[in-house]
Amino acid sequence: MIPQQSGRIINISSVEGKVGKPGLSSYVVAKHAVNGLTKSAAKEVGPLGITVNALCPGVIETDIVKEGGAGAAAAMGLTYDELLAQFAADSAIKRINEVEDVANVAVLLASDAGAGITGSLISIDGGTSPY
Amino acid sequence: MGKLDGKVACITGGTRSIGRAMADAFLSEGAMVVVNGRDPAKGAACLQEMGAGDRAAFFPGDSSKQDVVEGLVDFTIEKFGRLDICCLNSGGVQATAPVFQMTDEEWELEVDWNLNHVFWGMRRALQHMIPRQSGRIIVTSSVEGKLGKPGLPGYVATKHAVNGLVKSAAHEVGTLGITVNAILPGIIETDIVRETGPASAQAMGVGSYEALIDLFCSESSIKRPNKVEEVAAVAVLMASDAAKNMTGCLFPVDGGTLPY
Repeated sequence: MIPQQSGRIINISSVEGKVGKPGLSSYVVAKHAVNGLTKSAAKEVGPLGITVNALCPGVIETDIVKEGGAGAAAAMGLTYDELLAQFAADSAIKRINEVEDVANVAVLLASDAGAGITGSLISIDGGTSPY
Repeated sequence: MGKLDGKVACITGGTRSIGRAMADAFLSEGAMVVVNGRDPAKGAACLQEMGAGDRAAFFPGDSSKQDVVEGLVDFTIEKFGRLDICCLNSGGVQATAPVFQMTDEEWELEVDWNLNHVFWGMRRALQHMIPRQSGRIIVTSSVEGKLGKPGLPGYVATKHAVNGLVKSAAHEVGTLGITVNAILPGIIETDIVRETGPASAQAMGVGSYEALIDLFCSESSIKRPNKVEEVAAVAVLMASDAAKNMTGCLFPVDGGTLPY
């Protein structure tokens, strides 16, 4: 992208890149790190027509969440259903997010209209994160 | 098939700059739009340029006044039978100064124009949207709602305040099909920025309007001002059905200025 002086990098981070649930420390650490990398890289390539952003979804019942969720929940002292309910309760919409919520913002960022958005950590979490 | 077919929007400060870009974008997506502005001549010219026939209307008045903001909401509902999208967009400074030199008049103007206007519009719109269990409130905030430049104390305080109001209101109506979000633009050379920028630059101790623009640009990653169309594109997303799960979001359109 640097030689072509144009491009879009979209990192799928997580609400856990901003907040920090107990029992998920390695995931929280990794997602905080991705958020930092996003900011740093954005500053490096900002004048080159390349944007770098992170999307921070709340929990979505993806295949990986369905497969590994019970184990993660147990690490947090919860059942799988209790885990999802806790994420929903922390949001303003009181339900969990959907893949389309992330995709819709990704389309905007990827388009020419997204040229002015970079280094951003965009919450797609139904109002969970306060920043 | 537009993203906002059949939706009705109102926009404070909708005849020029960011508000006008939102109006144009909403109209191109099939919405009906009422734009508000202080100058009836600019309003008439705006309707002419938008060329949207009976899908657009103008409501005159100063959005730092409660009766104008509430009147805009009421007029929109009366004219088009509903209100789906309320954009509380206008705001700025007139004669900003550092805290120790700030006048009561300027402070009160900025509180009315940037903060109270948003509260009045939000309250009036929600009173309509809550029984219908559907709606979108979109507030034009600023990077200064998270940062804090010297010389802009009223603007910084009121933009921080509207960010808080957005978060609080979002949690109140989260399960009612209504979303409340803010867009945080970086510097954009709007008419108001051009008009008041030279004086603001003095208050901020940066010497000239050009130096003020350069300061904001230098803090971004893209090293240029943002554009009204970039803000409008985010407003279209927030207004659409696709963003039903986006609420309480402080969405930056700032070229990488904000670290959080």
